[in-house]
Amino acid sequence: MSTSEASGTGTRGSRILGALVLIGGAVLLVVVGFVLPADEVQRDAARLLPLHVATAWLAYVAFFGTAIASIFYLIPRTRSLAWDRIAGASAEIGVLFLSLLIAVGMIWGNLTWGVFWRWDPRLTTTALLLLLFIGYLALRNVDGASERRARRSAILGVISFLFVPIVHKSVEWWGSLHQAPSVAKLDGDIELDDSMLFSLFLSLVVFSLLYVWLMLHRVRLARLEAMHDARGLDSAIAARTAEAVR
Amino acid sequence: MMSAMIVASVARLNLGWLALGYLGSIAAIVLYARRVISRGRDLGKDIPDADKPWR
Repeated sequence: MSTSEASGTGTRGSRILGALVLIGGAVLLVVVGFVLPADEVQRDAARLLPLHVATAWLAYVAFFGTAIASIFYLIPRTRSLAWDRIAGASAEIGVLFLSLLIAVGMIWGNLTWGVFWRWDPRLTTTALLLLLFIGYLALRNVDGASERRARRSAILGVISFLFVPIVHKSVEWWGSLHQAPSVAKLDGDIELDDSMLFSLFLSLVVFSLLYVWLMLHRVRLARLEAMHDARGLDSAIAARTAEAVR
Repeated sequence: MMSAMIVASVARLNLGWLALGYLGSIAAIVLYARRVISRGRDLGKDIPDADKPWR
């Protein structure tokens, strides 16, 4: 391992986790491509569902992470900029996967419904959720003292997460074209083929590990950025002081 | 014969969309991860390992 590799955000643990994600991802591709049979109605378009469901899962988990970290920041006893960094990292990853969710969903919609987009309750609320968290990331980049920026971001992070249950329930509340939950049902009556159920389960495991791996790197990067900013500020103050003395 | 050709071309089109969905997603995740890791390496060079709690 070179020095430059050692100086970054990776560790032995993160590399092992990354290898597990790669192996799990490869197995998932084989299962989806060769083991999973074509669906009676959706044909090959059903092969997109493990990816679609897993990206939704990861986005929801990431936004939940943002909300929890934001709450910890807002509680005076646990207030720390570390929670703010975790909230920001999780939201960024959530936005990436929510964008992928919408893109993959549009491809699936084109194959099964014949259109990429409908102003359907689930699709519309998902697009609004994406806009909310893009707004959250934009707010994080607005200038200001770290504490003030972290406080307003934490408030918006919690408020934005409150929209997630609305997105999830939109199918039941407003009679969406999008199908209702097939697995996450209260009555426990799962109407799925075993191979599809296994693919979904595997995709959720792989994407959960991927979330942890991305978070490790992104949170460490956020800490490095904070340290870098602090060093820049320190050297600027030192330069000003030297000028004043002269 | 004609209908078999139509079915085959539709199936190929579907597989193209599937490939776009999977490969596009993989490409987006890899690009994001590369950006994070390379920026971490760049910033990490200026900061001693003693200041990094994960080291």
